[in-house]
Amino acid sequence: MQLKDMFNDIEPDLHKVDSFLINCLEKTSDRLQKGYIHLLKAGGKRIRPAFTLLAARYGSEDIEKVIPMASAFELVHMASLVHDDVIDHSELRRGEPTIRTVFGNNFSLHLGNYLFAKALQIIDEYNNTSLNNLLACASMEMCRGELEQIAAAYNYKQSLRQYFYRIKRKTSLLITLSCQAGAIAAKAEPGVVRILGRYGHNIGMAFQITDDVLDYIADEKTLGKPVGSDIQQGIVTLPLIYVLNYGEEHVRRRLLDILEKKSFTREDIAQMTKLIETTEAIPFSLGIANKYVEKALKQLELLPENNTTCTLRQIAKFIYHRQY
Amino acid sequence: MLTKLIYKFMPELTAIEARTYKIIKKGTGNVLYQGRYTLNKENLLWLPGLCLLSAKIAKDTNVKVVQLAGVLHLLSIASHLHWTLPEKTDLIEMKHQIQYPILIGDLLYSKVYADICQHGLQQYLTPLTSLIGSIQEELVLKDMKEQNNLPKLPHEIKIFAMMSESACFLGAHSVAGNNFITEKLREIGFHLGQLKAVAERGADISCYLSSWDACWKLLECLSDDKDREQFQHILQNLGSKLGLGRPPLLECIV
Repeated sequence: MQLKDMFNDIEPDLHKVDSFLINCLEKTSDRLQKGYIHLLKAGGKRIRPAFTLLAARYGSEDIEKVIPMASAFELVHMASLVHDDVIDHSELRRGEPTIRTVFGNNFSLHLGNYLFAKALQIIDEYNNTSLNNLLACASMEMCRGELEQIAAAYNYKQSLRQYFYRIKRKTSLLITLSCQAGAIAAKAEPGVVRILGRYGHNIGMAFQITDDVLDYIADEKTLGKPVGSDIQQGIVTLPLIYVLNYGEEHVRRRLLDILEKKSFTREDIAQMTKLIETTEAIPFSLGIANKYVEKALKQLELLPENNTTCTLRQIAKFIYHRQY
Repeated sequence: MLTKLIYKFMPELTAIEARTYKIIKKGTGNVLYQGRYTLNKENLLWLPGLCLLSAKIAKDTNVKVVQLAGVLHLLSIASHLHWTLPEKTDLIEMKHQIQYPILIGDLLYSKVYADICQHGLQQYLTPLTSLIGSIQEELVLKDMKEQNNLPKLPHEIKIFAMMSESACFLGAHSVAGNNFITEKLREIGFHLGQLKAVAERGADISCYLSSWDACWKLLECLSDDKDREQFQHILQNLGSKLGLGRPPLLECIV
């Protein structure tokens, strides 16, 4: 089963989000539009707008009113991806050349800024101070998370706490907000907003942890980008932190010998992956992801039992079992 | 050129600068102080200075104006950091040439948004985000022209014009709302921004002479006082750099 299969209920609404996204930049220059279309064509799971739309079903407002909001979160996410690809010097995303590969670093930078500004304009139309405040705080924290990640690059003495701090900001915050915003925009009860926010947080954490695990164990075709790209950029994730903190001495030493190089060949990546796989790092990491999934599922017990809650439950379970 | 303006609003601008650099230091550690990023601090006070001066002319400065000026200071630095990146760099220089400028700029843009929300300035969110969007469009066009060996200066000049126009408009509007003086100040900002960019980039002034004349004419709409003198002083300074004198007709009137 794929993630998109779980969105069957909201498929018509997701199509409306896609249409909204396509029309977003129709009044801008041809050059910007060209880059934007390239970005849209690369696809994406549309997880954040999906969460916004699903969360909105717990409110009383017409879903149509939430479509722009859902689109705005996808724009924020797209903006962050475009910038991330420049920061990470990535050439591929989802199997396609990145914006920076096709159009260059500067274009990517300006497109990302444009998309973020556009997202803020869309959200401003809701005239909701609390929404604006939430997104403002989240976007600052996301930047801090990224800065932390850069500052911590090639630092192999990181703790689990530092890692969780980073991924909360990098990934979980926007998913949390997507869930909350959908409920707020649809005028759901404050209690429901809080529950969905906690669900989003736990799902976001699980999502990033499984993403980090997949970077070691998935194949390139499924992943849509080279395996080991995190460690190639000096990004230290949970499996590596586990081995360096709790792994056997001889495995740690061998890993550290390779890590000292700072620039790794394909063989180095393959060797490091193999070493990590000999330890408990992957099961440990997936265990942590599973704990977050369980926490998310527990939140759903507080919500009314209906199709939407079932869908959210399926998504939570899928995130743990996914392969891409 | 900005010395008099900075002196006039010394307490406000000092506070704004201190706050901005505290934000950057808190968010990034000492990255910005490692000497890798040339920040012309005086130039970065242009937009906040215009905002404060316009507010003073329209009515008076207040807390809201200072907060807006602070937002404009953040915007100035963010735009500066995001102006241009190297297209090719080695892995050693990646951090300082690409990663930090992008992320610190992103942090500052986010802080612009956060400050607008925190200080109750939501009415200016759409105009400011429109400005940011327009700046990005012009930067994309500038880069395209540069790649094709076509003139890129008109786009750079337009960006400064838009930013200065917004600074003057926001300052005046925040204290006096929409009125005749606010509109005139907006226009002054636009033309001043153009002229400043022309002077700094060594562009051909002949294409922008109408801005020079327009600026002096527009100043006549403002009350003849010390605040108006600030604009005159800036114009005169720009004039010396551009080799221009006060338009003859206005010299007779004065």
